[in-house]
Amino acid sequence: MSPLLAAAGVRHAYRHKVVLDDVSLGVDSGEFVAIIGPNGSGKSTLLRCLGRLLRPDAGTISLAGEPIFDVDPRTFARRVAFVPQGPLAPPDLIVEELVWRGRFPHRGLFGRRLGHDRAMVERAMALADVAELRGHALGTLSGGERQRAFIALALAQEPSLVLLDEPTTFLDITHQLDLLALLRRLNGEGLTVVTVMHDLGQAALFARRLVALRDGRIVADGEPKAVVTEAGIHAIFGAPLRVTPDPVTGLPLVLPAAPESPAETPAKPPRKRASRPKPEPALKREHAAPAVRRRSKAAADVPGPAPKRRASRRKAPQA
Amino acid sequence: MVGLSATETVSAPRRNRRAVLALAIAGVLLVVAIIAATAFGAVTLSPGQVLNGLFNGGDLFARQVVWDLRLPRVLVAALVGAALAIAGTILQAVTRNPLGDPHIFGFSAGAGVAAIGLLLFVPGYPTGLVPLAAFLGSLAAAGIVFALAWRGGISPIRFALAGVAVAALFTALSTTLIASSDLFTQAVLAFLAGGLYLVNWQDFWTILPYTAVAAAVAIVFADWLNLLGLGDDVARSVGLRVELTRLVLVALAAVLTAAAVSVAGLVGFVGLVAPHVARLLIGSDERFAMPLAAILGALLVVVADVVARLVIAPSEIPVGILTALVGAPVLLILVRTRT
Repeated sequence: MSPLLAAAGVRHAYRHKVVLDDVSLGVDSGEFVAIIGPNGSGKSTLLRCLGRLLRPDAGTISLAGEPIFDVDPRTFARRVAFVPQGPLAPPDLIVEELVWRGRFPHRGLFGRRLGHDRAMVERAMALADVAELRGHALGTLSGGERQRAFIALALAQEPSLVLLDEPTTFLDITHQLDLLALLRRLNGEGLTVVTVMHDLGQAALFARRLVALRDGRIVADGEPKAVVTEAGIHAIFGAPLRVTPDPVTGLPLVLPAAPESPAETPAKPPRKRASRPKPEPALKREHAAPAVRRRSKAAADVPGPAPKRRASRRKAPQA
Repeated sequence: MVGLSATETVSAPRRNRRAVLALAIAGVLLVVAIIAATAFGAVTLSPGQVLNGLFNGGDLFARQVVWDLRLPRVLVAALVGAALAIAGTILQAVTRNPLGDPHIFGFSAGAGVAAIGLLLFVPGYPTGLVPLAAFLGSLAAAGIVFALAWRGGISPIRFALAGVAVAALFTALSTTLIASSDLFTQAVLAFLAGGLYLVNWQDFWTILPYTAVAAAVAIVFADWLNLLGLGDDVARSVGLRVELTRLVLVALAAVLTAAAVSVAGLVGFVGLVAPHVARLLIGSDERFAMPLAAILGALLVVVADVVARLVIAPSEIPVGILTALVGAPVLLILVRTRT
């Protein structure tokens, strides 16, 4: 059986800088894949190629066996949706109208707003948890709400696959985890998710498969536990990092290598930390990770009070 | 009354009803303005005379003034305003730049070079050739801007910069033409600042098909602009052929601008101001904002033309000066009170 989305021998260069170098990758239906790697490793370029936004210089990308650049754009849009990093929108656009734009691949410009379209818009808003924000202008939303509104637009396309480019970039830690829990939930309902992620700990926690890029090549591909090892991380980032199992989930945690100088031990008062050399961006959020793991685990999997509220909202449009 | 602030929470149907209401009000205002504009001039007619003259009643004199002199001029003013407003709406959306305007992006400047070249350097030109030259000059300028901005696709910022560069170049060329000629005729000034005093029914029937068809297509496809407004990535990912869409839209803007400047000369500011006023009044949904901009643009040029005729009657001020004089304060008031 051919994978849902497959890249074979994909190469791309901007001017003379090679960004993707012979990348081959297959994504099966139902997977949750995180693409990780250092800045400039080609993550976003790969995602844009997979989403038909960028035609690679060489290689083929196919959707269910058919080369994607041979597919009519609207047909493709009914199968694959793309959520860019920091998408644009007029600030006075309301959420409901934004989500309606996701119906374009189904109805075109002139299609009447049929009952099915309406139902799909409602379903997308419910799934992305923005139904209560339907009348709000995008300019009034928080970063997390705005990102969820664009995910609702993507869901309104009724895709089987969603591609996301660092969906948590502009969000605080709580909203990051909420958003990832949302993606995990959608994945649980059968949506295939491929997302570029910066945060290794979050990628390991939420994705079921990690694909690591370095200098435009895939250097690791597999389950989080297999990819996120000290040797593996060193191969991807070229930096000495510690990997230790999370006491709660057993999933790998990535931490900075033990500080060498006594002046930099964690016992030092926190205010002095400002003078420490800046850690790599990918590691910045790792310090907070263990403390919030428990919470996010609950949000993702255990039917605590918060998920229950969401579940009831999700049922509403079907009634 | 019909305005929206960005922070309001409303349902989509309610918002659409407000937009339709705004369109209806603006449409009524335009009809009133057209009738009023037909009444004013060297001889002022009463509203009764105008209506009688329009519908074949009334005295012969009123009928002649209305039908032969004023109505073609007023209707051309309305067409010019609507065309420039739609062109401006399109260029603002395609470049995602609030300064998008056929004047600023050099489309009109191309018409200027062609028309002035003909007026000053081709002795004994047939009068009918000036609009044609202006039309072609404008299309050529639009084509040059598009070609300069193209590199495997149009980037909005490249298009805007190419437009501004072409505008500067062609304006310089026009000035050079004028400076190097001994003739500086009234016709040149009329063309440069925009004027409608020589307009007749033939002009109206000449530009009507271009304007009507291009405007209708643009309004029908206004939802394209909404999709482009979400950025190229989202527009592509919902299945829009972004480059093709931009090409078609720019071509429409070029035809509309060419039609307008061919008969009215370089009427500025309408394409810039009308779309903003429309969006400030009813929000950014182009399915409503574009037709409203068209009506407001028509209203602006019709009103500006009346003022142009009356202020220093029996002489006239070029209408292009008045569109700025009337439009700028309106825009400033709205910007200061509504944003």
